[in-house]
Amino acid sequence: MLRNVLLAVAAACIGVSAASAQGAGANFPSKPIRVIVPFPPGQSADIIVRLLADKIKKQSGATVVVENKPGGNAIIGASEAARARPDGYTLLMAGTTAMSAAASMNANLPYDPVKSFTPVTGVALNSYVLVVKPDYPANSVQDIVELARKSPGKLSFGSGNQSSRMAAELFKTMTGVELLHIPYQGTEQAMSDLVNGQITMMFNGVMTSNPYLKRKDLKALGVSSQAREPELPDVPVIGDTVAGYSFIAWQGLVAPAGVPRETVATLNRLFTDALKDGEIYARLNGLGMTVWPVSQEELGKVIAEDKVKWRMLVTKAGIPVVQ
Amino acid sequence: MTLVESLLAGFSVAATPSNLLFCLLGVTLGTLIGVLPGLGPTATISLLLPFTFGLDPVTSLIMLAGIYYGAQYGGSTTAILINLPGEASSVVTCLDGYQMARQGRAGTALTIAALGSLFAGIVGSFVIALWGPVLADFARGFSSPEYFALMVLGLVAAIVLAQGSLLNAIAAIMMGMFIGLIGIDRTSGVARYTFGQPELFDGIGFVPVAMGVFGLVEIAVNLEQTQGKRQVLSQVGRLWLTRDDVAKAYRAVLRGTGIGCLLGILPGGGAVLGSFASYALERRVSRDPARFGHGAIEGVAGPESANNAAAQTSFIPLLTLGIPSNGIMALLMGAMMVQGIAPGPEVMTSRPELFWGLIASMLIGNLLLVVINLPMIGIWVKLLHVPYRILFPTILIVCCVGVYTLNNSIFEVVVMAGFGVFGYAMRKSGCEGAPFLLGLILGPLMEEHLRRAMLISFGDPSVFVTRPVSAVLLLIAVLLFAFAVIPSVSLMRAKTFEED
Repeated sequence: MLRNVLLAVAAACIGVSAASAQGAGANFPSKPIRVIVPFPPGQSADIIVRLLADKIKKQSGATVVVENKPGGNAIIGASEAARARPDGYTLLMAGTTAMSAAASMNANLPYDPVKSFTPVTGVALNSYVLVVKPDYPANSVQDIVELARKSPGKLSFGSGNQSSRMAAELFKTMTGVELLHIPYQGTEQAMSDLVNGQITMMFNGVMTSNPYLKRKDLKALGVSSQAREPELPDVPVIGDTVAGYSFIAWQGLVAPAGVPRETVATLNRLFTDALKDGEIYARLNGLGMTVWPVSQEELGKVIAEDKVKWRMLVTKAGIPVVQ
Repeated sequence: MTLVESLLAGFSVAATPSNLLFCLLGVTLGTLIGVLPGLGPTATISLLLPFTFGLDPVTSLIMLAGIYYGAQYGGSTTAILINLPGEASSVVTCLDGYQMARQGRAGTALTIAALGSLFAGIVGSFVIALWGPVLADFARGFSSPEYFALMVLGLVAAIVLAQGSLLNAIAAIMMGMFIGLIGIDRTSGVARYTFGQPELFDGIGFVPVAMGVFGLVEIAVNLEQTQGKRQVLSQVGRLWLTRDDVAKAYRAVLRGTGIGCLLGILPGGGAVLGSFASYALERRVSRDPARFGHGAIEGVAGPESANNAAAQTSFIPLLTLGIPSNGIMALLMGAMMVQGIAPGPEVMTSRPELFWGLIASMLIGNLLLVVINLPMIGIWVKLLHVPYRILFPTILIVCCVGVYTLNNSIFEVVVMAGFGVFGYAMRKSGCEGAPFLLGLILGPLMEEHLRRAMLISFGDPSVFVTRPVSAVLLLIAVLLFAFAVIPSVSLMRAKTFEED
């Protein structure tokens, strides 16, 4: 932490001396690029950016500085990024929480996920797996749907974060079954309650579920992605049963709206080059994620789609919007 | 894995050069702040918290734990030498320790305090090693009703065991619970008392509050009290114990260790309670209670053993259940959570190196403490001469930097300052900071578990009494609360009898 402060100070000093000489264009980046991470140090988003910063330094010599601005469900950090100068030197490590969830659950969000930002690049994807107790009388997604139809509102699902909840809410709306939502702070306690039979099911991250599945403390019924997960080759896709179902949480880098096109292109190249590196690929897999080195246009499309999809879900599920 | 194998694995973690270094750093720092009156382990740990996030989780826990039990050693030094408790848990050590020093037996008193603490510390560490896994197995069956009952018990215990007025303790807890309401409600998603400020969505941060209520208030109170000349005894006397001393003290050490271990485990318990209970017990079992208060070695040996034993065993609820039994454990819980470790029964299986490494480090740390304390008493005494006008601005700056770097947020520095003022007002009106902090931590957890338990049971409140563990815990809470009320009843009865 102290190191970060010192780094930031050093970065600021370099920035001042270099600022006079730089314009937009060919010599970008001529000073350190600041990435605002709206989560505390040590969370996956933070670790990913630090890994990327290290790799970029080695690949191109450009300096990327991480600045943690946690709190307010990522709204604090995202607001600051939205207000920053659109010169390409301030980026936001955005994702489902800061964009999709914040926009659909807050009436007075100080920014708009689409209008306030310029998409830069996708970074990582995280899919979910539907898990139940091993002795639960359901062996497929179809079984769960039938059981839930027989006793509406008696089957429950736990969630430790908004994305996990939304994966289940989408499942609810697409199958038309009634499930009771039991919210948790973090997935640990929810997993423990699931193993103890307090709750029926949960949509949980593939990697965090893996140890439970290996110990046979839980069994997997389906994955939320469009294709089978490499870590869980035997688990079918939920979309096979529930046509059109797909839910993936994403992380990506965005800049304040109005960054010049060529600067965005340079940034995209810097980060996607790092993401395509074998070591980064392996590290992200270790964190339970798949690298997602896509163009700015593709990230922009996902952000816009998510905004609509999540708002619809929030309305249908009756989740209260923060005023 | 057997206990021996686990412990050996723990030693392999604790004995790495960096972990040994941070263990030494922690216990040295702990002794130092223990010696210095006015800077307690709670304030110190909260000051250091942001700086530990860059460390490996095991390393940071080893150091922070070292500060806590190290302070139990250091606290006795000032209590014995200048009749000033360096720590709250050393208050009773003053009673007989200072008298012993006046009789020229300061060395004996310091030695028995250190050796008693060493014995208690080692026993306490083994209690964690033996009971920890058992309790964790038991805790695995815990769900929301049990957690709710446990939180209730913790809050009741905090009320009953608080010093001073019962009403003040309840008021402090209630205030803590109210502050804990701020933020977005996790169950329903409704924003409470946030006034649309994203800074308040996650609620009021625990660390800035703790630093305000403990660190800043401590400084204010210290400045307020006139820095009068303190009499320091130049004569420390011989360090070794006589045969007579040993004969008198060893039973007290054993009893102190036992009572400390037991009270440490209890939610709301900890070192302070252990030392008071042990002193009371020693007086009661002594054949010659009149010696107490006039330099009885049992009066030093018992409480000093008890506070260190309790300091070790108070880790059990945190490490096995994920429930902090006192303010310091709550700080450590925060430290673990920031590192991405959710304290609870899972820790022992998912992070065995953390659990066993910490226990092994406690054994090493206790040995280090004796080595530090005995030969270095002369140096510790000199530190008492550091003028407070130099010390307090340093502490203040470290507080502000520490809170800011936590989340890079000026808002939290303001929160700390605000709670510094609030904490001062509380202190002046006779409310303790600890129950307030426990209310702030346990309140939101209690609400969360209550509501979740009700959701899972489809609104049937009988789950709390039909599930056996929850029922027993609630029963204990009720009995404990009754005890707190009964003394006034028995006092009335005593008066009535006197008139007969």
